[in-house]
Amino acid sequence: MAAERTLWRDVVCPFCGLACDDLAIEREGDRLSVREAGCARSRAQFERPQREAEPQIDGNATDLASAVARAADLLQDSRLPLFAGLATDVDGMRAVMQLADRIGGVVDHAGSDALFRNLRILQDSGWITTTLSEVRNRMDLLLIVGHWPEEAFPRFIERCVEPEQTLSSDAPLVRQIVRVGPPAPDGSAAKSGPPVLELPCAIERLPEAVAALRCLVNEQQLAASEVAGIPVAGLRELAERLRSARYGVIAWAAADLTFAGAELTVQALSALVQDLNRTTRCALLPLTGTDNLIGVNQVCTWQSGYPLRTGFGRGIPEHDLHLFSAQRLLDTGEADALVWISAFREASLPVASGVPTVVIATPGTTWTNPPAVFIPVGTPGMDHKGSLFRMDSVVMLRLAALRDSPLPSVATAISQIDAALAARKEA
Amino acid sequence: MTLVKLAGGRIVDPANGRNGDAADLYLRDGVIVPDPGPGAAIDETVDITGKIVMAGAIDIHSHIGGGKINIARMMMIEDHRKHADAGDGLRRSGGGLYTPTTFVTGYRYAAMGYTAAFEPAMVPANARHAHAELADTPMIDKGCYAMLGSDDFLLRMLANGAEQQAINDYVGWMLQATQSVALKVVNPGGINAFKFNARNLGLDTPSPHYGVTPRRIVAALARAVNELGICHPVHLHCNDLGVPGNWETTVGTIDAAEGLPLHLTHLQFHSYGTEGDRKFSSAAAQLAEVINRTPSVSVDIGQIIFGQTVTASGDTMIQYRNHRHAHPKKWMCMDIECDAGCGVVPFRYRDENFVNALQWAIGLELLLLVEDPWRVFLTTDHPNGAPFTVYPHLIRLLMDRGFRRDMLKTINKHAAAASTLGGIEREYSLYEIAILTRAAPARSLGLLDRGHLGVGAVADITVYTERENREAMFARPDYVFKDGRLIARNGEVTDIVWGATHVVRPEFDQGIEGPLEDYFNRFQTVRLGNFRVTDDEMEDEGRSRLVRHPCRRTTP
Repeated sequence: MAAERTLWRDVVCPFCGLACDDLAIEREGDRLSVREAGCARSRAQFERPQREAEPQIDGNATDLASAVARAADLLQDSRLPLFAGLATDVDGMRAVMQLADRIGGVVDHAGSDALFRNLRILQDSGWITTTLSEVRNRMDLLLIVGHWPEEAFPRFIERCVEPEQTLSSDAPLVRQIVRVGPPAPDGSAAKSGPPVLELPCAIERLPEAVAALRCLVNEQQLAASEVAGIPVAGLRELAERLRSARYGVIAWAAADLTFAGAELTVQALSALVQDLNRTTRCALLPLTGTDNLIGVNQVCTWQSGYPLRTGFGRGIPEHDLHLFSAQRLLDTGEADALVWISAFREASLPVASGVPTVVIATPGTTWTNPPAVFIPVGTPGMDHKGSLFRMDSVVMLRLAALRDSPLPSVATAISQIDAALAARKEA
Repeated sequence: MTLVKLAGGRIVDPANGRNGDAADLYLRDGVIVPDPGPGAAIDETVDITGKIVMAGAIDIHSHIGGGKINIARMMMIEDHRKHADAGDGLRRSGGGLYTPTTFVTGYRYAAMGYTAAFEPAMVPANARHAHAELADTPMIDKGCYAMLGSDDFLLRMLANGAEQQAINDYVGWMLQATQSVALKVVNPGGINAFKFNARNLGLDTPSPHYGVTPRRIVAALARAVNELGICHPVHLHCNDLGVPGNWETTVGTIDAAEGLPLHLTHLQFHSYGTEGDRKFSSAAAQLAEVINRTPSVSVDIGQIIFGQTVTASGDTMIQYRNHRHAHPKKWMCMDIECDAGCGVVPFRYRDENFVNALQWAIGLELLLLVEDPWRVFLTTDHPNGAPFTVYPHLIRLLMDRGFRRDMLKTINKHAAAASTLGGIEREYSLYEIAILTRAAPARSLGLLDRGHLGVGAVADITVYTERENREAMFARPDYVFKDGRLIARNGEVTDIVWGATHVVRPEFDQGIEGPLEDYFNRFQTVRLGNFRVTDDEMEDEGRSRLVRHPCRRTTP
């Protein structure tokens, strides 16, 4: 018998921070195929085979109730449980927060290093930002700082930079695109898309380039003829374009800025935008949000008052971006139990920690040593419904269940562990 | 099914004209029921002899959830370091004084005798997020006002000379799609104009690109709300917030509504003159006079109370302008989705500062000079003027002339001298306070079974011991009931409940989805179907029970 076919329209893709919501996806039995829109990444993720998976204890198959009970044992014995990875939907994070609050855990997302390169600037000086539809309709100059965004955010250019129409004109808006960053490995500027003025600069020299650009925007004198390998004439040209743009946008992916003190470069960009807004409009667009980083941070903030890297070990929420870094807590041995959550992509368990580990993740998750407990979960937006935030932190989108799945959600798995612990406490 | 008797309280229930008469109240299944008569089986009697009984209080304007508030929390982690609340098995942990976490927001309101609070500035593009935060806000009923008036869709309609009927359909659709209970307008046209680099927008200035004046926007939206039969009038944050001389804009805005019902929010920030050496003066008397003779207008105050807070507003134009006053020195602004914007600027109101001190006095002048308590609501525009936890203090300022005059002596002496406050004799009665904080907001929002203690009303009830110190009295009610359940005792939360979400469901022509879908497909980065927040997702978690309020259309 032929499997039943269903065509889903306006499907939200949960696999990067753009959260494109215009995909058409066909289901045939358990198989999903991207029929319209989408990108290489969305196809790879939506079309991955639905794997059979059972919960495991120490690598041996078991049932969900036993896995939940074993996870509860580990957490009950733990003095500082760590909830990390946190690639989950809004409801998954709600469940994590409730459990962490109850048992004195710490919460941190795999993408937090990049998150805090930006958040520290919001907390120290603030910023002027914009959102994807504003970029799509108003932007007349895009400055990309760092790598061309095609790999990390495949449809950014298509959806936000090259629409056929905008609110201000029936024809495509004439837009200048400038990139300050390392040349693509093959030497080409950008693999596809619109013409770009490239100012080549190594990633770790971006601080110099951005600082010089800010000087030039403010019409200060620069004695150098070259900064970070870029001729000052090129930077001066860029400064002039920023000053004469009506709605400039400066975009960067903080995940690319892997050099020490990268937050200071974000701060310089923020200051640059503030300078420009004295006379014209310009706004920042942080390219971020993959694995619902923004949504998980939002939930953490509205429930605890703090962004990620928050701990409940002393009964009250406490936040410190160094103290409560998951990597640091594992490296120092302060965390004595780890709950690793990864519900979106099939990934490997990155943390080779010595502590008892509960993995709550997609069935295709791989590891070198089996964790103490493995609870396979469905992917929000494929196997169950849920919600997530887009990179701009404004738009929260509902994710649909596209097929039937026997797998629980992260929220269900965590809530069962929470309920088991609560029952023991009462008993 | 249990029948609870609240015995011997003094009922202060202005909606039913009751002013302190002693009577018993009976509660069953979450509502107030008639006296079951002699011999009825009472399951529980609570002796409240001589205590003051009011309906649960309702905050008509409090920024308690959504994008800008969460940004404020993220930005102001110092607030959370100073004010942390431990969880205790019953309550979740959290904290923050002026940027409280969602759980703590609910606990504090309930402990203070409030059983509902309304988020007054929900950006439609952020609606799902706002509702997600409110779903995590326990204890109280909630509702959101959708912000329109700087959205490109509306401005295009007005620029293209759209019929009023089409505007009505759009507003109706938007209120339903965003699960809202009222319509908010913030700096009409101004947020959009700021995206085109305009730094101010006068009431009769054509906006950049669209050429639409704020006056036209106010008129169109006031009419839409009226014709759709939405109970609460346009909830309007006028142009020129905080600008000396803006009281004339406020009067002009009243004219712009052409006699239709209008709610002017945080009026204190819109009541400034330009007199005196500092070119900053109170226009409270002039405005109160206009309001007293204009029965179609209601107001809330946005009272400031001295201390550190954070301002969070959809008004990017004004927040950008005020960034130089940021304390501590950090601030953010965001342009949002061809919809609106938001700006977060921390602020410390100082009593030794002339302007801040006069702002304090202006708010109180307005509260005391607007005569009809049914048309003025007690707000601090939380957290913009002060956190909502100052309400008991504010009530004392209104009820206790001696206390008010003592406080007046502590502020900047030039401001005190410039204010008429010291000469105002009026003291609010308990009855009037019950109007301000219960009966009037419920009536204005169309919450027919809230804000009063009549038979059939939802059993949201607050019981106080009468004390001469009104601040102490209102800070720690003896009992708070929500839907008939005891949730707080002596100012402490004793049980956790989840309130309802209030929404309106106006009738409109679904045909508006045609042009809207075209607009979303061509310009937006979200599809229409994904933008819309459905009833199913609201009620999914079993927390956000929807209460749908009928609308009374005035035209076909």
